Amino acid sequence: MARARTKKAAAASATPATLPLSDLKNTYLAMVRSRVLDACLADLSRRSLIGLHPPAAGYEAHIYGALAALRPSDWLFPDLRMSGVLLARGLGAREWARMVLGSGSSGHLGHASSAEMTARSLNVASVSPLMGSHLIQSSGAAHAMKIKRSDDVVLCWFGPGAGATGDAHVGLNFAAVYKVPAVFYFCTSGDETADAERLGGESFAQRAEGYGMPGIRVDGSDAVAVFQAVEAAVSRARSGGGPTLIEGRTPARDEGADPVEVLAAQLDAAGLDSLSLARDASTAFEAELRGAVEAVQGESAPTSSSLFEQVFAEPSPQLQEQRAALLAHRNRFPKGLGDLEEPPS
Amino acid sequence: MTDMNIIQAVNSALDIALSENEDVVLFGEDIGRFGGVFRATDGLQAKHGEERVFDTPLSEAGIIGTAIGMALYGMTPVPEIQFSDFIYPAFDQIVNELAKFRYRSGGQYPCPVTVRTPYGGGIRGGHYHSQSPEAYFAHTPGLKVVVPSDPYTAKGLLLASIDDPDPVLFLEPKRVYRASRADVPDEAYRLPLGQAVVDREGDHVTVVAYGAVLHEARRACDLLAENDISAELVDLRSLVPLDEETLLNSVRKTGRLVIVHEAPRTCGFGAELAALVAEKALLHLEAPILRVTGYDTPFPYTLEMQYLPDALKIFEACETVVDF
Repeated sequence: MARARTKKAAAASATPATLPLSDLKNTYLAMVRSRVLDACLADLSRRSLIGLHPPAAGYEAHIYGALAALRPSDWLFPDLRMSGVLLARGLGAREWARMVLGSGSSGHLGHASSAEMTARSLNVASVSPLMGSHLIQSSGAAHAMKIKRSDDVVLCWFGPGAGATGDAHVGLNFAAVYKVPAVFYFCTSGDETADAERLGGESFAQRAEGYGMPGIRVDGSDAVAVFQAVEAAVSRARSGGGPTLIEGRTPARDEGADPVEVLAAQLDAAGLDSLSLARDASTAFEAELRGAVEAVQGESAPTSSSLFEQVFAEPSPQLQEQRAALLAHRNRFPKGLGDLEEPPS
Repeated sequence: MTDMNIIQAVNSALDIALSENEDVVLFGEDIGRFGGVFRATDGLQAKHGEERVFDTPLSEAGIIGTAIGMALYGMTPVPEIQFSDFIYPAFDQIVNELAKFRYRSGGQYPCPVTVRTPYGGGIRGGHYHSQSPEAYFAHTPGLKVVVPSDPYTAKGLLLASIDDPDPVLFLEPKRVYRASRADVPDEAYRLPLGQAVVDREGDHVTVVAYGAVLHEARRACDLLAENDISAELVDLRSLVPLDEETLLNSVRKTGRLVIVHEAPRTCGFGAELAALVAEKALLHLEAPILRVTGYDTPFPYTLEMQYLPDALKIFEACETVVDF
């Protein structure tokens, strides 16, 4: 377990928290399901049912190790490849399928792409495809928690692309200035060459010192190490200690350990049969996702009218008029250009 | 009733909002301890505490991103951008995030943020303290754009904006921040967003304006009256949502329209108004629609009084359409 900490962080939690075996198993199953989700999304993309959806492969420990350190009332600001956190937080497979396929009956009314998932009821912010903007918003949400005397925290995941933006600096600085209860989790991609093109310096976590918050480096292929680092940062945030910056280093793919296999080995060492657990979970989850996609496909495409919904709480007169015009147009030309080719006799 | 200028009316509205609703928070550059560069938040930190009225680091993206995060969590932030010329670093947060959050989440995450910012020229501010950026934002679906012209509308529209469930860009006419005075009710009142008013009635030509330049339009109406031209003046008050009926009814009555705004002409909000009237009241028109606007130049420092629409330019345009 390659793991380095700053002196400050080491002082914050001298004894790492432990994860009970049942939680360890659940984390492993979530990571196994994540692989199934990747495959399912890739399949939907190949079938042109959705656009490109970035995979979570290699990020499973970053995502599910961190999630194990949080409670359901804590808020998540995921990045684009992390839509699996909604399922891990309890989103039903059918609602997932509606959202992914852009169904009119989905929570976002079919307004968003397959990666821009939202579930307010699960305390997951709408995932933004923009780079870095969510770091500032995470600081803002955590700032609100502080003002409202909540002991919830915000977890914000981001990668080297977002880390290179001005917004990343601003978000970390705002969080540090106001000592908000947020954990900023920087995850590398495992592609050292690509990362070096985005960011200078040996370690992103080193920057934390400049902001006046602890910076922790952790082996991003080890879900238990990630859990321990996030757990310490979350405890600190909950008790008013302010934000922490965690850097989860994913080993390069060709030489590094696979996060799912690392945890499998730990489970096996504890006497569980990870292989059969994974097999059962994969089969069941694949069937569940496939079934959900089939069940909701063609259930309800977004209507022309829904195009105009939720621009504002109440549609402006202009939006109402534009909606009426579109509906009248489609009523007059239900077949589009086809109606011009075959004029009604 | 108290005799107030616009700054005092804004301060009164913010004080009421902070007192009425514990979820309201104010923040921006120098708005806390110092009370704002125009003193609009003077005394509010001392009264309502450093947690609810606070200074931010110098980053507009930071200010708006923070406001969005707070709004997602259920609060009612009223951030200030010190000058509207400084708003562009936050353009991404406003256009791509603030204005889209409700839509992107299918209504799960409304963003009731009211962004206050002084706009406009006439104060010898040069390129970067004088701009009128309303058209960029009126072009942004999901964002309301409100422009008061005097103390009464400033207080009533600001309180309505803060109450509104959607994001509002609240553009304050800094040229008349202190010059415009009026008796303003001390208690809370709201003026509905999306409701224009006929500021003065007339028969021969409709002049439509909003914000600081409304005062120039009033002077133009006086000049026109002296020349036996009866002008009707419409104050839009809000660009989004837009009260089309008040404007169209006036044009149907007078048959002529002159549009006034400070912002550059090309793709200014006047273009939208002209298109609207052409679409919906063409046969009532007895003359071409004319626009009196800023020019398509960066906002000039030395020649700002030549750049800005004034009473005479408005008078001349009205005379032209009446004599057409």
